[in-house]
Order: sequence, then structure tokens, then C-alpha cells
Amino acid sequence: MSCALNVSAATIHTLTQGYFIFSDTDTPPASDRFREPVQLPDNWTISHPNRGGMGWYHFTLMLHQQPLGLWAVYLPRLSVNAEVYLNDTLIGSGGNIHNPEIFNTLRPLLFHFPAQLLHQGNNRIDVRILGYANENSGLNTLKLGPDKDLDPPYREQFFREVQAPMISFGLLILLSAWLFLIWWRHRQEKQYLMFALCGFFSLFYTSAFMVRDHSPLSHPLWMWIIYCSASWYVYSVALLIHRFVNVSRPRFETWLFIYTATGTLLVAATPAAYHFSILGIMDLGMAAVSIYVIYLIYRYRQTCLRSEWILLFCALSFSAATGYHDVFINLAFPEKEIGSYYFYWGSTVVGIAIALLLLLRFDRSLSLAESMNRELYSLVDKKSLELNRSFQERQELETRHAVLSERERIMRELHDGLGGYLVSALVQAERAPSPMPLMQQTLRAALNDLRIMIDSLDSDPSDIVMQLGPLRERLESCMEANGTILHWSITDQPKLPHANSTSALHMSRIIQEIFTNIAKHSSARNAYFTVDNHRIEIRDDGRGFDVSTAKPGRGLPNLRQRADQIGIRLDITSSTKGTQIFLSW
Amino acid sequence: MSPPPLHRNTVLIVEDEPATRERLVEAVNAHVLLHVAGATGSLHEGMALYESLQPRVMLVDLGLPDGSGLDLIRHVRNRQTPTESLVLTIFGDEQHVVAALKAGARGYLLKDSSYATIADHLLMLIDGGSPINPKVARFLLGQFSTWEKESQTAPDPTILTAREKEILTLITKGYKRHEIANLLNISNNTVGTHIRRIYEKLSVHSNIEATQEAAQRGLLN
Repeated sequence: MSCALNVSAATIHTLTQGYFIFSDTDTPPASDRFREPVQLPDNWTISHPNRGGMGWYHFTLMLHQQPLGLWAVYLPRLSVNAEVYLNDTLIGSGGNIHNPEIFNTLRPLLFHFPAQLLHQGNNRIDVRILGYANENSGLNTLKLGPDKDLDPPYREQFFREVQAPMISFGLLILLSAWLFLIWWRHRQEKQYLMFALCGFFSLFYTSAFMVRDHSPLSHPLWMWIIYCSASWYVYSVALLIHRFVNVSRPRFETWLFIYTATGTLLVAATPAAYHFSILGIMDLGMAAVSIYVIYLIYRYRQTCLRSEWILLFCALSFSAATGYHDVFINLAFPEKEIGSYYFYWGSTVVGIAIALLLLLRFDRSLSLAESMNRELYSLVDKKSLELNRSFQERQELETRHAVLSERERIMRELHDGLGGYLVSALVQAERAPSPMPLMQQTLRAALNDLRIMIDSLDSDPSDIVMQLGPLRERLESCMEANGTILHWSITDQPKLPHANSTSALHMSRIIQEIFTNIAKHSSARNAYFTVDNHRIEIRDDGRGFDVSTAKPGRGLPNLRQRADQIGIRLDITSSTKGTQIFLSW
Repeated sequence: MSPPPLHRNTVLIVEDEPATRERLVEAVNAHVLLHVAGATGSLHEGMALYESLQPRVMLVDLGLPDGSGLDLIRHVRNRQTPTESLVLTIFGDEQHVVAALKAGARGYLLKDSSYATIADHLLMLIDGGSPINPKVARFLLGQFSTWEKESQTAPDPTILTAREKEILTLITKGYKRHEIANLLNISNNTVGTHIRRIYEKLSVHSNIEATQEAAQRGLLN
């Protein structure tokens, strides 16, 4: 019995009406054996509950004219495997159909054939399907048409359902291997191992959708691995998230292990008829675990960065949603059309998200190590700088020490030698039968000059007060001889600019010269010495002199020259009431 | 030499240059309150004269032909008699003066000082004051500041008080004792007492340092 389809003029022929029969024959059964009409899509779980095995679909395509060129048959979705016969000639197969291999559940099939196999009038098309009871076996659609029209939609679907998952799957394998190696080198970082386990289980789960030929395992074993690996995947995600958010719940982990292992063993030990019930219970548990895991991420979000917990939350929610879809929509409430499976996408997304986070954490720890290294280096730099500085300070100290000891040596020489002779000569001049006042004066001046020179060898020549303090004694002796009273006032402690021993000596000599002039020429009763705000004022109440016509003997040019040499301004005003001199800088 | 009248303070002069020594003798004897009990040019004789005369004041030159005057000054300090020493110096430089102060001298005297100044310094010393000059004052400020930083105990009686530091700072500026007394509104004598206390602290500190150094050397040996 056959049914001729009403063929439209459309280029692509979509066949939906046909006949069906369960039959183990290796060639298409005779037309009159097909008695059961069928309408695509056809899901055996609905149309033939609890039935599996070899089923034949029979269609008739009526063509008004002989087609030309390359044609193709396109099966967008079917389960589990298919062979297509055109006018009793096998034109394509989705794998070895006798020794049942694999799912073509997610794999679209396209078989080319030369259009000569078709002829004008009725053409017979038979599709042999291998399916299993209650596993959404069957056929969704059958399309015939020129290859150029069917190839693009086929490629698009093939990319979406096979190639893209394989790429992400490959990526996941690489990431798992990488993180496993990281764990291998840093055993205390358990989360990397957990991730590798996730990758390992999702590898089993997703590979089942992609292995086409030469599977070493039988179909029931494959099924066992697929369903159980999904459960173990959820188990390892739970363990991983515990470690990721730093939560320790060993008792929960033990119970989850027992639950998952029990389900796994039960599926292996019981007849196939009970598998779905056991898996249903397992999947209910895993759905609960997935909710728990998502809750954990939210509850302990403060242990992660904001970007981390949001990414994880979204990825896990997506993964859970795909799981619920596959379990509840496809298996618990199947529709007529064989549905898509998405959980492998969910597990891949979670895998990639977690891998990304772990790698970012790894990167952060590397950055941390780097910044610590940098800190260390900068610390070393700082220390060496300090060492350098202290070395320099030490060198300066040594130099200063050398200068000081040299100065001490000179002082000793002066004290024991020249100084001693001068004092001795002075005393002799004083105590001579006929005193020699000029000689005494000269000797005293020589002694004072020596003292000023010694003072100028001071270690800090810029500290003018340190120069002036000792100077007073010398000036005082000079003043006392003439009965002039010296009034002393230092209210400030100005520093000399660009000072060195020479400029300190010049400064002392300038001041001494001025006072010598006061003693010699002014007949003053009082002399005033005031230091205030970068200025020294020396004033007397003597008879004064004409600054413009001062005789060279007063030493004014000499004073100015000395002052110029050390960058000091010298101002002199004089009247009959006295003389005022400013040294300023 | 005739025994000194009771009201006169006895002075022992240890200076090896004869003319200078003679001049000092003259200068001291010229004052009605002072009297030279002995004068010598050697350390050895100086020690003997000190023991026998127990003078009120000693003028000691450092560079003596048979040793350093520092030994005599230290010896006198260690005997803890009322005798006080002034070091004789040509320049009043810190190198000589500080060494003498550390050994226990109470001040210094320039060898070419006028008679009046010599008498002044000696009487100041007898009055409880101590001659000082700006360079020595500055050295003391620096030295005590170092000791203060190293000091472990608080309060440490061997470091300077604020008033003592103030006085030393004024001295470094060239101010005289009576000027400082005016500026700080205290008496001349108080200024002198402060300076003497500073010298005592210096001497104590130096003595401690010397002892520690000796102990360390002993341990090392």
C-alpha cells in the first residue's frame, strides 16, 4: 500500500505524510506491508511508547518531470540513527546501524545523490531508523531537493549543532588540562583539580553527542556514561564552588558522593526498563544541588570580586536552565517534535566561565607576585640608596675628621711653637727695663691675628655667630686699651652666603680692621656692635671722618676689596658725631 | 716664700716658660686678695708643691717638659680637695681647654692676659664662677647634645638643663657674664654657678666615659 504525495512546484520537497512499520529486514519492506500512516514529526515516545528497535518510514514523491543535477536528502533531526533508500537504492547512512553506535540526535544528516536516481512519476523513499524505547527516538522532517538548495541550511545547522560545540568542547579540554597541570604543580590549590574533574565529566557527557563511528562502547553503556557523567558533573561543580567561595562542608560532600555513586551503580545494575526512573530521581537531586550551588554563589558573593560572582551566577543559572530543559521538557514531558538538547552547552559555558575566573585569579596572583617583586626591588633600591648616602656621609665625616685633625696638628704646632714664642716675646717686651710699647702692640696684634686665623678654621664657616662670638674677646682687648666701651648685641643668627674658611677669615678681618680704625682714629667713648637680620652694624660716637677724602692709611679700599670678594655690601656714613658702618648680605 | 696672710687666697703656678711664669707671679701678687704660694716649671715639682701647699687655686700649663699638665689637673680632681685649677693657654682654643675641663679644670686663662684679667679670672673662680669662652661653650653644647641623645635614663642629672643650655648659647654669641645676668634677670654669681655646674657635668661624664672605656679595654684584654 502506498500513498502518493501531492508535490508542489517548490524546489524543496518536504515530506510529512507517510507510513511506518517496525521491521528488522535489511532492505525496505514491500509497500503493502506499510499499513500504519504516520505524520512527521514523529516521536516514538509519544506514538509508540515503550517500543524500540528498527523502524521503517515509507514516503512517495511524485515528480512531474525528470530532475537534473545533484540532489540531496536532508534529515534535520532524528534519533538514533538512519539509512535512506531512494527507489530501493541506499543513498546514505548516519553510521553503522546494525551494531548501534551513537546518537545522531543532535546531528543533521544530508545525503547527496545524482538526480538520475529519481524519475518522472512516483518515486519511493524509505528511511530506516534505529531507535530506543522512551528516548525520544523518531524522525522530525524529511526534505528532498537540489543539493544547492539544501546544502546551505544543512551547513548552518551542522555548524550550530556540531562544529560550534566541538570547538567549545576542545577549548574546555584544553582549559581542563591546563588547570589540571596547575593543580599538579600546586597541590594545595584544590579548586584547580575540581575544575579538571568538571571538565572530565562534561567531556564524557558532551563527547557522547559527537562520537559518530567506531565507538568502543555499546549504546546502553554510552547512555549510562552520559546520564551518570551529567550527575558527576553537577557533583564536581558543587565541590568546586565550595572551594571557590571558601566554604567547608565535608558532610554535605560525603552525602552527595554517596547519592551520586548509588545512582550510578543502580543504573549499571538494573535492567534498562528501570533506568529512566532511577535517572529521574537522580536528576531531581541534581536539580536541587544546582539550586544550592547558585544560592551559594549569591550567599558568599563577598568572598569573590563583583565581576566573579556575577559571571559565575549567570553561567550556573544558564547551565541549570539547560539541565532542567533537557530533563523535564525532553524526557518528562516530551513533545511530538523531537526536541533539542542544551545541557552540553550549559556545562560548556560553566566550564569556560570557571576556567576564565580561575585563570584570572591565577593572573592576579602572578600580578601580586610581580608587584611584591617590584616592591622588593624598590626596597632594595631604597636600601642601596641609603647605603650610598651613609657611605657618602661617612666619607664626608672622614674628610672632616681629616681636616679637623690637620687643624689640631697646626694648632698644636702654633701653640707649642709660634704662639709660645709670641707670648714669651710679649712678656719680655713688657718686662724689659725700658718697656717697648710699640713692640708690645705689634706682638699683641700678631697674637690676635693668629687667634682670628685659628677661629676661621672653624668647621662651619657659614655660622657667622660662631665667628663673631670668639671675635669679641679680641676686639675687647683692643678697645679696652683706648678706654672705649664695647656694646655687644646679637639678636639674630644669620648665615653667610657661600661661606668657606676664607670668607669667614675675611669677615673677621673686616670687622677687626673697622675696630682697629675706631681704636686708632675715632677717640670714641662707646662702640656698638649689632647683628640683626643679615646685617652687621658697627657704630661709634667718635669724631668721624670725611668718607670721600679718607686717607689710604685708614684701609678703606682694603675693606671694600675684602667685602667685594665675599659678596658683602659695605656702607659707611660718618659725621662729627660718629661713624656708622653696615655690612649686609 | 713668706707665709701668706690669712685673708689672701693661695695660688700655685705651673708654667715652664720662665718669663711668662714670672709675669704671672707678678700679676697674681699684684692683687690684694691673691698670693702666689708657689711657682714651678715642671710637672713633678708641681705635684709635690700641690701636696705640700694645698693651694686654693692652681694655674697649670699643659705642655710641661716632664709631662702633661692634664695629669696634675686630674690628680687634683681625684684628691677632692678644695683646690681648683685653671688651665693656661695661648689661644683659648677648645682643643686645649676642653681636654683640661674634662680632666677637672674649672676654666682657662690666656697667658698674655692683662694683670687685671688674670686677677678677675682667679677671683671669679674663687667666687664660685668659671671662666669660659664662646668656642668652649659651643663645644659643650654639641657634646652635651650628643650625650643627651645617647642618654638611657630620664631625668639624667648629667645632661644640661634648659637654663644651662640658654646660658651656653648666649656665651657662644659673645655675651659676657654680666650681660647674660642682665638678659636672664639673674645675678652674676648665678651665671657663674651654672657654668661651674656645666663643667662638673662635663668632668663627671668624661670620667664615666673613661671608666667605661677602661672597663671595655679590660674585658677585651
